[in-house]
Amino acid sequence: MWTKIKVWEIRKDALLSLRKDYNGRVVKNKSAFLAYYYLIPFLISATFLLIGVSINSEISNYFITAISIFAGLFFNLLLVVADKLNVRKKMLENDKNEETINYVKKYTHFSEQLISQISYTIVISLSLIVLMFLIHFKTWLPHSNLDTIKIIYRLLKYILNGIIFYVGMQFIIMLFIILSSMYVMLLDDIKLRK
Amino acid sequence: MAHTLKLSIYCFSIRDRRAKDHIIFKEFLNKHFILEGEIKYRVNKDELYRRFIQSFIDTFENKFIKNYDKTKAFGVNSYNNIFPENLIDGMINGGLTGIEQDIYDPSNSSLVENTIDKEKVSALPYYYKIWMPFDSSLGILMVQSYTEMGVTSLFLDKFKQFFKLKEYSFDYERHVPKDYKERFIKKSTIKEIALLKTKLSKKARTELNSLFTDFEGLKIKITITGFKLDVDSFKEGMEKGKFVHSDLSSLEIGDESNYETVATYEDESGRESQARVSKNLDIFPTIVLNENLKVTGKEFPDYVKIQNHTDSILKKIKVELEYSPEDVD
Repeated sequence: MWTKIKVWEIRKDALLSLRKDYNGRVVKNKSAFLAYYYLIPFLISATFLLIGVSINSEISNYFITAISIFAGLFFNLLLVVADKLNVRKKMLENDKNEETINYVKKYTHFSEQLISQISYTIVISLSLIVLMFLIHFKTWLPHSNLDTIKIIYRLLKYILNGIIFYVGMQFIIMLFIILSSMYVMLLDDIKLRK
Repeated sequence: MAHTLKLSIYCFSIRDRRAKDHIIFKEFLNKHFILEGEIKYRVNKDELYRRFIQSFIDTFENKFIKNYDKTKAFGVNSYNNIFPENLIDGMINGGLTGIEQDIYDPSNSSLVENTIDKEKVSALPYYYKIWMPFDSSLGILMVQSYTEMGVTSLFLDKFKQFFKLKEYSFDYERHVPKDYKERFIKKSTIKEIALLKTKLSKKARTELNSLFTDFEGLKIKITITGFKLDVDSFKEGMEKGKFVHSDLSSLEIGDESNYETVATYEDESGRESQARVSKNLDIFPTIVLNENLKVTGKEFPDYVKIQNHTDSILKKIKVELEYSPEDVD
């Protein structure tokens, strides 16, 4: 495998980070993570499909624009997180107190987790953009009046819609997680300046 | 057989006697160890710790402090500090007092070579370590002892009294590192079970024997010996927190909450220790220290060796207590 692309590594680290506390320890109880990250998106996407919600080209264009903006912001955010970590690491140059060392260690775990989550959200954003393009597959594929082809097209659209709802929900959940982490980070920044 | 070094570990926290919650040590130090004219939270942490431990040592007035029965005494007059790590440790002296002791040469049991006066203290050195994290409310106290002699309870009482004078409650409980417990459980056998009942109703006392009716402080101890069980088999034998399944209701031993079960363990070296069997079968074995921690040719602990050893134990405890984060790559 080409080692330059680390998408699976990003996914693995991000999902593991969702189960870790700020001490860097994996929390044994997986149920909350499984419920929030897999069960809720599945239930919502299944409900959307059952009530016949479908993404048309206009909506998909809006989504593509919104997600692209977010993806751009996330690239910026990665640099901000790394920069804030460096500020904390510099504290150790003239402070060897146990609590400072622990604080920097905790902040490092927090930053590592946040970086993997942001990177994974960028991956989800790109996947969503690709999926939104794919939803227009009918316009690219040859038109056919055959019933079998029509059923296949309908089924494909149904599956794509389901995947978009599911991945879209996971994207929203990741957004909330990143927002919460940013909140913690900024409050910590204020405390540090006092 | 040489003397064996033991270690007692306690988790402790303090709280204002009028308050419910335990206080972070930073708050305690900033409240009681800043001088007039100094501003709270502006005094150097090292200085606060220095004042704290010095004030504790000053309470000894360079003397030995005796226990309530005046049978044991101990004194602290020095300390070493590693304040950046919130650590204070050192050696204390303590031992028997209140009894005249004769000194003999082992080869002649009829000739008294010397006598230790009743008022004197025949002391041994003991190691102690206090970890009081500046940013937490949970600290660790370690006191070394010998199989035959110890001043741990005296030290605890004195420490408790020190906080009491400042109107703080000192709460503590024994702690045994998880890996030590697991190792102990793996390699030990249970050879004795004792059921202890301390409070019996008048009716139960009369039923036992009418002669006991008026003895309110009557205690019952049922000891079961003559067996050897590994800890896993012992756990299998427990049913709803009860090891003894016979009907002992006439002795008011029935509900697991109204009596205590104490197990005597024997480790691979034949060393015994007792542990209260709690509801979740948690045990607190005695921590026996390695012989190589002694000063060469002596039976006392070597300060540097025991300091390093207890540092490594403390490091594990900090992770167990979720104080220390995982190491960063």
